[in-house]
Amino acid sequence: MNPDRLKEQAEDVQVEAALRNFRASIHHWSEQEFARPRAIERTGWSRFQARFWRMIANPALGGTLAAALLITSVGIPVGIQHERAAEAARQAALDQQKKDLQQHLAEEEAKKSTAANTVDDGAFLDDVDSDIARATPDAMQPLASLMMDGPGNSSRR
Amino acid sequence: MMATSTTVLESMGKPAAAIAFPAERLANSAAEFAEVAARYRPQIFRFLLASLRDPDAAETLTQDCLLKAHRNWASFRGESSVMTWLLRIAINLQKDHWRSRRLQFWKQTASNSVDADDAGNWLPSGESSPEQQVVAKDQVRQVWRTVKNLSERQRTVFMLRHVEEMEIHEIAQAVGLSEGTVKAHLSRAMVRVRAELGGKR
Repeated sequence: MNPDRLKEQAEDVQVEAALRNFRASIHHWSEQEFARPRAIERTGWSRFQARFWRMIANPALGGTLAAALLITSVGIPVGIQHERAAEAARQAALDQQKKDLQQHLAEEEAKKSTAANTVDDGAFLDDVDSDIARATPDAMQPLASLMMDGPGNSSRR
Repeated sequence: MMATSTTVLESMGKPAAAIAFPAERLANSAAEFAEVAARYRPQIFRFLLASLRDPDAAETLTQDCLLKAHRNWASFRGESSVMTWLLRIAINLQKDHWRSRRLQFWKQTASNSVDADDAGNWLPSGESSPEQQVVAKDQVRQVWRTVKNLSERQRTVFMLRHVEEMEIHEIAQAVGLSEGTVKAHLSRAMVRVRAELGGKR
């Protein structure tokens, strides 16, 4: 047989044996490692999570956190609601005040207007009186005097 | 009554890794998945241990792999074997692991990675003589040294072929490459192993 061929065959046998041993080595190592109890490597985040849940598991701290959570979840909406109601009441009071003021101003304006009309009417009547007034003839003078002196007499002649 | 996955596998009389689970049996069942996880966990761990040489990282990635598989269990259609599917997940996780290690090169990351020379000590004693043991350990160390210097892809292909004893088409499915590319990677890896072991080819 060709010596090169023989050498190649010998090498093949050697390589095969090496690979067989390599495989056996890894299988053996893996079995040993697999059977060994081991703590699972934790990442920073999972460490934080584990610590957090351990903390929550503490009754005192858990209770405090639950209370804080309750206060936060109930207190804040109630506070907001209360604040909104107070704001609405304040706004309503302001509106009412504004309305009252406007009404008052309107009333004042009306009163002033009425007074002005009254004054004007009096002057107007006086003017009319003065325009239509005539000097009493001499013959009627005694009668006019009586009217002037009589009860319920007005300034009109 | 519906047979469990194990029963199905056993009834076919083939190694579990070589069989695809029938899709109709892969209902999103927690019990089924628990069985699958228990069955394949050692193999996933072994592959990751061989790839990373870090038992703690291998354990963590095995857990991650099973967790991811559990989340996607319903979407598994049985187009490949369960083991191939699980190994594909493990390979992706391993890639992410290496990538994150490379990104964290400036950090003093704690690594329990076993040296390639020490990894050769895990040879079972068997029935061989002490001399044979010494020779065998030396061979294993030489293979480890070569594997350590292979590219990530070559190493993955080499491990799947020579440690997990998978067929080329299964490896192609697991790594997401064509069979030709897998053969090329494997061939290059073997050339280096032979060279390390003293061969000329």
